[in-house]
Amino acid sequence: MNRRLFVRMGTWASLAISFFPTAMLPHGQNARKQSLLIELPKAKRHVRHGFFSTNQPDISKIRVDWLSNYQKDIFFRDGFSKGHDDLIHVSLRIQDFQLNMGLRQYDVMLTENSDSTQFELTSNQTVNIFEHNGYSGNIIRLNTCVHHYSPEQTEEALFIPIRGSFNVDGQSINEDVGILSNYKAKYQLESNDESIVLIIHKHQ
Amino acid sequence: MRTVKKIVASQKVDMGGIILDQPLPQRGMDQIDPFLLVHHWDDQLKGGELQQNVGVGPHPHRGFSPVTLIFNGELQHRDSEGNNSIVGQGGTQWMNSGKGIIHSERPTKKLAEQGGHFEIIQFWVNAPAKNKMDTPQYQPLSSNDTPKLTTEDQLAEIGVVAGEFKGINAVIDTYSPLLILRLNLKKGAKMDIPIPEEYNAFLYILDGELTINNKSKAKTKDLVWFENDGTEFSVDTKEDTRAILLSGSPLNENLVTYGPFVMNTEREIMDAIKDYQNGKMGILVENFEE
Repeated sequence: MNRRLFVRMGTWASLAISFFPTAMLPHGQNARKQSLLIELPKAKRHVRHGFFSTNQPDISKIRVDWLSNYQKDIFFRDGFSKGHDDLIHVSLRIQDFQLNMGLRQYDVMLTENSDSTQFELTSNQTVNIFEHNGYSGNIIRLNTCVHHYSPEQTEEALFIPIRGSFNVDGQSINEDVGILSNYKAKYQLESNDESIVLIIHKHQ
Repeated sequence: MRTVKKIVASQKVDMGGIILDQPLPQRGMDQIDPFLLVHHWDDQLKGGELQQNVGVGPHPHRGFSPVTLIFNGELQHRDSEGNNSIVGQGGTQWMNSGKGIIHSERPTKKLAEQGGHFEIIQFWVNAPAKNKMDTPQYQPLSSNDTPKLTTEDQLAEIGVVAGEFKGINAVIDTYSPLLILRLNLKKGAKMDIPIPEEYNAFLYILDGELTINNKSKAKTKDLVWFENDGTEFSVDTKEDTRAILLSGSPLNENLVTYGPFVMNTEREIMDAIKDYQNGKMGILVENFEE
């Protein structure tokens, strides 16, 4: 896997919505037909003595045929209840590539074998976190401004809310529901609060 | 004489439906190095349950020693190393989780079905960095096998769980120097308790009341944290009292703890999560008797 970590400066956030003619923004019924809501496996919550609930979520069922073994774990910092300093761990597999990502507040840690990368997300900054055999992953920290996301041409884009909830072209998604979209030149991401989104692209 | 630094009451925590008393950690008291956590579970089980529906099911640990003292009832431990043992009142289950182990801890089948008093204390002892990836180890200790000292007036019985106390040596192997005692004090008991000056030390009162150094009073479910300014303290009691002393040489190492893992860096926590998900901590399939 060739991992490159680079930052596309969050210039989109500095552009006022008025710079884009409304007709260019994908929205409404046509946009939704190109999208599919994807149920995400519920996160396991970890306390000191194991799992908060004995009901273990199904860790592998995600209805995207090129993505397997998606799992999200939340480790409570104080050991028994939700807090702002909890560690969210996401792991997923695409072909022979395994992503292991930890998120604590806005600090991201990626590990692969003996290597690790750590960085802090800033608002409206898109960070590329992996590229592998026709797939790539970006992570964005959204704030309450509208964020215009313009990826390179790809076949599909899977939006996975890691923390928080937001709209993708008017469609609400949250930590339980992601969205799989056919390629569009621009997406409008709108969050009511600070959110973190993982976007995985399947290239042609 | 070691003076009292602080006396704090326990707080109630909900651990996934099990209500526990947690004297440590608390706000402003993340740990008393090397002790990370004390949980007191005291319950009257109503009975009529299957064992698989009580207690805590399989879960992982890495990087420290979870130790359980049984005060009432019986606790069954199963783990991914193949250990399966029941320890009853007065006994201890000492587990060094090392590089990783999956274990479950449940009241016995009989207790689940028939009901009864169930009371345990679990405390966590941090492992030194050099031992965090050791092979896991489980040491069960019955009440009969626990070395004890009884005072001449028969008013105090001290169980030596770890370390050495007035010539009595514990049988449990520990990673770092510790002195851990069970104190069963009858009304009118008085005694001095020596502790190495460099040890961090605290008492936890299960029930009753203690007067410490003829001055400070601690009651049921209080934690008494001592300064490191002496080599002993005294206790006396006007009612039957049960308590534990946890003391040990501090590790003074960086601490990162999330959920069931205790390591020194966040990278190590991430590795623990990955290893657990990849099955490197083993598998535990609990076989419940018909």
